[in-house]
Amino acid sequence: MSALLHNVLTSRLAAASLDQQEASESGGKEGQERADAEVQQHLQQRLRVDSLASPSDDEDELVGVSTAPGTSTPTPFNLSRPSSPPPADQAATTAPSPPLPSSLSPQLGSSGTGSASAASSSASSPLLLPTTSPRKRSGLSSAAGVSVGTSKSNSIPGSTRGQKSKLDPLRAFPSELSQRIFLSLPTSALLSCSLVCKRWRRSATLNYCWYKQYQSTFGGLSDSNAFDPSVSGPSITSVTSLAGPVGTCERMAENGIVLPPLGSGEAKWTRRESRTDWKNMYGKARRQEAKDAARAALANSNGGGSLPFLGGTSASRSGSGTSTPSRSQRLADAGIRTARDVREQQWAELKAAEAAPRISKSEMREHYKGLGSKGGKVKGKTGKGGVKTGTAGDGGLWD
Amino acid sequence: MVKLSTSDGEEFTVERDVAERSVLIKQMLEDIGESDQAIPLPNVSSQVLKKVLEYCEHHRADPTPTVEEAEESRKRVTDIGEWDQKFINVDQEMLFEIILAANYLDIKPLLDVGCKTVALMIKGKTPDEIRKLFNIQNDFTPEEEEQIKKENEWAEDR
Repeated sequence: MSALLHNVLTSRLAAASLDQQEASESGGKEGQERADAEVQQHLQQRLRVDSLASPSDDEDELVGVSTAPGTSTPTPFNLSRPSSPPPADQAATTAPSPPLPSSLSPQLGSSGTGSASAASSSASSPLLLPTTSPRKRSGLSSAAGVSVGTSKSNSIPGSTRGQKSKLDPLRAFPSELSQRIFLSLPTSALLSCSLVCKRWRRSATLNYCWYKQYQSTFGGLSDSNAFDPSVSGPSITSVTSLAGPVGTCERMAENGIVLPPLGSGEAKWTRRESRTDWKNMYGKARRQEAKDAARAALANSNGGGSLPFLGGTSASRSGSGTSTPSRSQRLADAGIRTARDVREQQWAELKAAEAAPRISKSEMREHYKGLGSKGGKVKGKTGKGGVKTGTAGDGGLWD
Repeated sequence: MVKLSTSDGEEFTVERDVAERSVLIKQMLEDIGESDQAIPLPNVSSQVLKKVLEYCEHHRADPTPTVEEAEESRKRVTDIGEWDQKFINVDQEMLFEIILAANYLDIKPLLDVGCKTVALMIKGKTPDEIRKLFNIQNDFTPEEEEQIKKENEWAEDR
């Protein structure tokens, strides 16, 4: 799809620049500049369309986190629900009428002024939008893409609330309502929900429900803080693999949406939480819990202080009956703890990375001292020179 | 008496205590005082408002629950009164409309009944049944579905 988009763009660009060349024969250098501006405008337009396509794709997801989760005072939905896509497309949607690509080049050729580029940039939006949006949004009819003017921005939410999606509670309701519905469901039902469709799987609302489930079940646990969100590592290493399912939240975070705190207490629903796949976190914690229980049972059956999972010594365990399961347990433990392991590994790496320049820093200082007064303290223009000498000296330093 | 006008232009005249089940209308009435003018409810159709008013009528004498009580009742999923159960036994589109209207009009007990009903619809159903219920297409590839089932395995071990 994007390849098609690209093709359309490039062909139109080619047409445009051809016309520009014709014009520039008389206009000289000025025309060439205009052609460049043209390319730039096209690129900008494309960027704009791309950035537009993603938030509108996940309108509900957006709502899911941008409103206060667990809000106890529901506001009238017409106030809390965003009724139009982001303002980024305001300029694009105010295009006059969608001219066909073929009609574009003569238009460009005839009008030799800067308005030509403006026309082309605005004209490209009605052409581009329908090609990008329906792919993501099944509810969006092609009619929405064809309709022009400011009315289009209003018609998008309307069309998504069409016949088909009206029955989907995650689409029909603003997030505080779907939260209300799904928060009352047990995990077994939430598991079924995760298998319904992609949209449900990556729904911020459902993720929030998992988060709440996790908090209420494991929130107080302190011994398995590998999964305790209050123990914050540097960023979210354990979640990077989940970019797929919860990518929408990430996109949202990039868009700079500030997530409100959860009023209830110590646990906060922050941007970091919104990027975490809480269903899997919950599952991991549950598995861990089961392991712990099995381990405790095993320890009890072994009697007294022998803790098979701690001791690497096989002396405490005798017989094949106990040694085999405990080994598998240890393996499983290692598998389970990956989140923490990954995090710790990252910390170690970070530390190592930090440590390396730290040594060189002092070395550098010595180096600068050796250079005398010129190289060191003065910042700004002389600093540039300092860097130069530093790089020159690097050869000696890093040997 | 209070006049209410719906999105499709129909006018309803109801007693004040019935209308005041809606916090939105109650606050409006407090703000503007008694007036002959109908209160416009552009987000509610006459069909839905009729149903909502039926609920308000039945619950007109209910004491306003405290915040704690409301929280309590929200947690008890299966706890829907007998009359409410009959009342909410409507087709799904209507149910959703009622929920949206209850949210807009700020009628918390009705909103609770609606949300609980939807939750009960989902509860205990397989993914496929949920899809049928809400007319949702399964857009997972078999591999993706397998992957999620694997993720969910912890529940089945237990």
